[in-house]
Amino acid sequence: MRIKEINQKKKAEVLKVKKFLKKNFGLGHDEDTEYTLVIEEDEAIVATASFSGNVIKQVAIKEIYRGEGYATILLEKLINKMISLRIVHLFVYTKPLNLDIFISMGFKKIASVYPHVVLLEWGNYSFEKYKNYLVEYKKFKDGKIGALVMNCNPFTLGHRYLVEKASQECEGVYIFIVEEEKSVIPFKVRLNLVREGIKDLNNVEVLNGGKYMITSATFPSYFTHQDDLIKIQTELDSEIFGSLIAKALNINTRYVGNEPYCPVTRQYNDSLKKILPRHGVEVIEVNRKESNNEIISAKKVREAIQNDDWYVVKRMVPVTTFEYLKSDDCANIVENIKIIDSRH
Amino acid sequence: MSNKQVKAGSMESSDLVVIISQGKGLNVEINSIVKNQFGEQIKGLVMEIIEAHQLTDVDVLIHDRGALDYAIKARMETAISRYRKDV
Repeated sequence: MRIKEINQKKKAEVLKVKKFLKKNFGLGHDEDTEYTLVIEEDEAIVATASFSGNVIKQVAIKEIYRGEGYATILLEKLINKMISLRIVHLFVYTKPLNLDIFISMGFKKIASVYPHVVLLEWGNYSFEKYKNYLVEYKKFKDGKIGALVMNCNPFTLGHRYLVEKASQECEGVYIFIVEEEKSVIPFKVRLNLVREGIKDLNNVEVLNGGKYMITSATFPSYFTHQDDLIKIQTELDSEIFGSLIAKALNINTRYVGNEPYCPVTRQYNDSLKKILPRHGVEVIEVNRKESNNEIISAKKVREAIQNDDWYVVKRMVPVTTFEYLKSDDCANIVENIKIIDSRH
Repeated sequence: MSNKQVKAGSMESSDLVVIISQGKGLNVEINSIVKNQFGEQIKGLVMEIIEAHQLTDVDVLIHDRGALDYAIKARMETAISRYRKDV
């Protein structure tokens, strides 16, 4: 038995891992994988595990080698590596088949979509802590309680329209802003623009999206066959929202904008509609707000900024967002928007 | 502020993992498969060791898989000495 670190730059080594995953488990291998360990017997791979960021994934042990303690050896080494990189809150995205291995190592289960995936966590943070944060800001007790999960990159009149509708129809509304720093506008700025933009609505509370809504953990870019990929990921995210977050805040209605362009978002809406009713949450899909016969979206706002078309920007965002975008504080961000083109 | 962090122990059965990282004040978090039966006892032991070493401004995270008291003590001592050496 030999434990080996895979050099991600050596294509031949990575290819061997890819083949092992594909052949034995029908698993894909992510492009963003940062670190991979394998166990070899007679030069052949019999077990492997990887991570990228704070997410352990692509965990696979060849059937005849299970129950030999290989998983613990492999994962111990992998986790040590992560700890040395100062990662102390880790997620595992794996097949339910591996659930027991991780539970016995002290991991806690967050949610699962059987038979495809289970998400677990370990370390100095857990859903319990996020739940304490949520409960601290719990504002609404009964009646129709709505929720929106948005990235708001940046906050537009389209977002505002959705929030207003929810605000009118519900006793109270929670807006969760996606916390993951994958957008050109930083989380803190996105959050503030939403807070400024909804100040006049007194039954709306804006909260941090935390680590359990649309993050690298709930939406890792890998899984089984590509067709199922997005479906499984969005179902897992829906499951977490329904079974944990909605429950913590008595949320019974989730608002989403309908999606004419992006297939991922469309699948996400479909998954929400499938999963949330099981947890007593109704999904309301709202038609997007238009401006000059054109749907308003954050992407279009960023495109308009790229083209220095500030007249279009002004038409699509609230005054608060517009003033911020034009301010000196935002000069750097505007520069970044002009050079980076991203989907969300 | 440096974000120093050290680890001692393993994830094997009957062992524990101790992670000490720089923090504000003293935060001790204990996860254990025998928390219901021995949670208080483990916490008492861990606090005793921390106080003996006058450790402050750290986050101590423990993942225990049913270790005996002397294993807990040994892992704690190792983690603390690593932490001290690292400062």
